[in-house]
Amino acid sequence: MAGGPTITGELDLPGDLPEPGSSVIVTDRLTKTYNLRDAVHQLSISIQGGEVYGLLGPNGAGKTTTLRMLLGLVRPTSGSALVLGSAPGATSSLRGLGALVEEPAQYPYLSGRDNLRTLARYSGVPRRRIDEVLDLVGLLPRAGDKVKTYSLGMRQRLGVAAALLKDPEVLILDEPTNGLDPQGMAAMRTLIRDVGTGDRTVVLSSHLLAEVEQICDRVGVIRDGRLIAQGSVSQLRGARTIRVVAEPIDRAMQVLSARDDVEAVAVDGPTLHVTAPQELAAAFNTALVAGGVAVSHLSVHQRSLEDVFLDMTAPAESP
Amino acid sequence: MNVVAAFRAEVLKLRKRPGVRILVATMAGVVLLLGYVLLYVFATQTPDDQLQGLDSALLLDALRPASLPIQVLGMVVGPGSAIALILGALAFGAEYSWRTITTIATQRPSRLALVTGRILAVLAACLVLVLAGFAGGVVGTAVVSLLEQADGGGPTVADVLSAFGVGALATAVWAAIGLCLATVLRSMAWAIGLGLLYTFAIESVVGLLPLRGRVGDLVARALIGNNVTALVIDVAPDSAATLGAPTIAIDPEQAVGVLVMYVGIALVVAVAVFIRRDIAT
Repeated sequence: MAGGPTITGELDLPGDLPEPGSSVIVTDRLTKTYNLRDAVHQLSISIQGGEVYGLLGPNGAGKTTTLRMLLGLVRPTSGSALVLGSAPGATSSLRGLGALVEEPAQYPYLSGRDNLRTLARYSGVPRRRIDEVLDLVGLLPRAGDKVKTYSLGMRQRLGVAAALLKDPEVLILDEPTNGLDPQGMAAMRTLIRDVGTGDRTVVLSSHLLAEVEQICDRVGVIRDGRLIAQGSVSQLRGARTIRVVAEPIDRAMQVLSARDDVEAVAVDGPTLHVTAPQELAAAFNTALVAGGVAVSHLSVHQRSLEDVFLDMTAPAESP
Repeated sequence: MNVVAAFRAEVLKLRKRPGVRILVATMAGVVLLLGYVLLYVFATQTPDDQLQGLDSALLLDALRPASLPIQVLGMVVGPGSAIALILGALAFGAEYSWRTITTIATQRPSRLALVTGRILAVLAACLVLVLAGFAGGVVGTAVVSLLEQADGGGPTVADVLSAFGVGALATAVWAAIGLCLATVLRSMAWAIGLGLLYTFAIESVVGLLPLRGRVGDLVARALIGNNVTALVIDVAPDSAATLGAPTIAIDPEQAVGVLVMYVGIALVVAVAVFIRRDIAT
């Protein structure tokens, strides 16, 4: 936080839920306790239809447990959740859900196509859909090969194809780029962005900030099983500020504070952090020079999601 | 509907799985090699004074087509029990080591429909195992008949059906125990290890002990092996000579009841655990 502005975006804090009705996933004080420790603690989130929602948090924060509860794999200790209007794990909920949880889990002795055939049989999906999703993830040329011959990236793509098989309204992806090389990660992000267009809702968990920043419309930050912030990426990053390094700093402060178009000015050593529309930067420069101030640096600045995340997820300092 | 969907999916997986194909081939091989080849070699190549009191003509009689049901049944309920146990453990346990349990539990069927479909698929595979045993027996008895140039009629349909029924029930018991252990332990290896330990160590050893008193009688009547033996002897009373005298006489109806109870308890436990337990692998 030193030297930087505070988060000024309007955050949906825990318990502050968006309008009901368009929500496809709603949790209310969802809690999962393992051995007297809350892996997830009173988590209340609401995910709107059509959005790409990122669940961001360090390893062990409770992201996977949350997703497993939404899928009905893990029962909550207390609290409740509704997924597509039904309890997690109910047939009516599973019908509209596609998921890739942690690593892709497939039958190594079956081909990619036969893996999907198996899942298609479980879900009553017509056979023609199999090649459609294989084509979508670029695996059609290798569809007949056994999965044990696939690279991790290919298995990850097959996992996404499996998740898309039901043409789900909601796609849940848990750390979908885990273990991929940079090219694989980029391709996977593009794929997720593509499948997240239109009415489909994508819920993505990750500890990779760049991934979330590039893919997600809205983000929930989770730490120690608790939701500590929720909002769009730009809300989380806060307002852009104009950073000015000038001399004398007192005079610069005086000149800028006097302007009506400046919301706030904060001093940090030889630097001023000015909260104002970024297009005013040139006008500030002119005003400062006209006011007898020597400007050595002027730039538009916004905190990175990484800065915000590190601040939010930093362990509390011991007294 | 969802049970049928789950059953069809499970059948596809089992049908294409090399491990299952190997088990089916092993069942046929066990019947052919242990039940026919070995016995034929023993009966024809062993000098009379080393036959340990057995009559080679009687041994060869057991290899003729008319004796096919009992000869196959002896192998299916003996060494075949381990094969059935492994089948159950393989079908249910591997989903945990491959973590595919997460994938299939997030498809459309409810957990109850899912596990019911899976159980039905394993039971269907048990029938295939018994059929494979009969296939091995048919090959064995055909070869023996050719070598011995013996004439004689084949088995009656009733004998074949009875033997098939007893074989199917026995393999179902062991497969159910295998899948139950795999579900409870979430491990194929542990299920096979503990299952075989029970099959060979506990069942065999306790079955040989001269158990006395009311408790001893109850234990003897509860052992799977004793109940299966009672059914085998009911199908072919002459087999008592080759199988050895049973340690306890059990009514066939009671034996069926006990074995069905084993299947029922194993399946209820597997279903209850699968439905209620978190899938957090």
